[in-house]
Amino acid sequence: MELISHLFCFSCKTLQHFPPTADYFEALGLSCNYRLDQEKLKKRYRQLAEELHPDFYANSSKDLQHLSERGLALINRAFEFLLDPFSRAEYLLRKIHPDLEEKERIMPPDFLEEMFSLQEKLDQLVADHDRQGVEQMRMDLEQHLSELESGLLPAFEMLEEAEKPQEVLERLRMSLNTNQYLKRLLERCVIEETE
Amino acid sequence: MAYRNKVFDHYNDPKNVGSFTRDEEGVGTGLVGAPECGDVMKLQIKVEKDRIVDAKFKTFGCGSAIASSSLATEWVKGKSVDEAMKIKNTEIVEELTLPPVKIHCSVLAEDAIKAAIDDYKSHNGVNASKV
Repeated sequence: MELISHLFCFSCKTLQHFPPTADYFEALGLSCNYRLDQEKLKKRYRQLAEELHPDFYANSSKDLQHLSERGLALINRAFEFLLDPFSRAEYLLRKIHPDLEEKERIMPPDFLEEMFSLQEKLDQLVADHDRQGVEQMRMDLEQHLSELESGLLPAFEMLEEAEKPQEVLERLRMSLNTNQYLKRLLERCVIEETE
Repeated sequence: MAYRNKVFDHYNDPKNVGSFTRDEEGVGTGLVGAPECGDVMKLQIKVEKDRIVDAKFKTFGCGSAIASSSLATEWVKGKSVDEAMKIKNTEIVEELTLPPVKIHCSVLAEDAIKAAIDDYKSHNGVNASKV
């Protein structure tokens, strides 16, 4: 077995204990970076899911069985988090700068105004049974999210080189917050479109 | 008596949904958001002689967020501006028995009250509080 994950001891190759806060990148044997090869991620996940299959632990001690179940749950979570670019960015940001908390909440007033009026607009489109309008809003949101996403890799690269990382950090934080609000709106559009 | 879920009650029959005209005298508008989930909450107060005589809200978010803001508008009515400023999110959590994962909804409601009061003060010649 090719040793790919920190979940397994490097010398004796058995599954070893890990804390609840185990690192997702380490669990999947990936370097801790925003830049990620999706194919490699999927391949690692599949390999590990096989390794941790309950069948292989059927005759193991209760301890080891339990550990393998937790291990499987961990890599499932890790895969889900690292696959999505925004949640990967969010995870990485919290790792590098756990103390970015306080400023997080504040969004510029005009941004919130815009979000609020988009929500109201959606209410109106739904009330008017305007399917095309909802579809258009959905496409606009997807476009906006796609633009946001393409800004993530450059931002993380800048973070490594920046003399004053604070500015880059704040912009990153703002992008990730923006994503949450837009995602919410998008979810509503999708629901309304399928009604 | 059957168990009544207060969040459900507020969600089903929210009090004070609506809005005031922003530039109307005595009106303060608070618009706040929760970045962790994308909720947006607008809370408005109408003040006469330093007392909040009416309040309205509109929230786009989960049931707990709607309930928290609905409750907030109920609570501020009749209070003086200074009294309303003292409303704590923990009181909202207790009243609605919010689970830990929804505590941020109560924080949002507290933020909204403070934002509305600050906005009222800045439009009515009183120094806005420094948070």
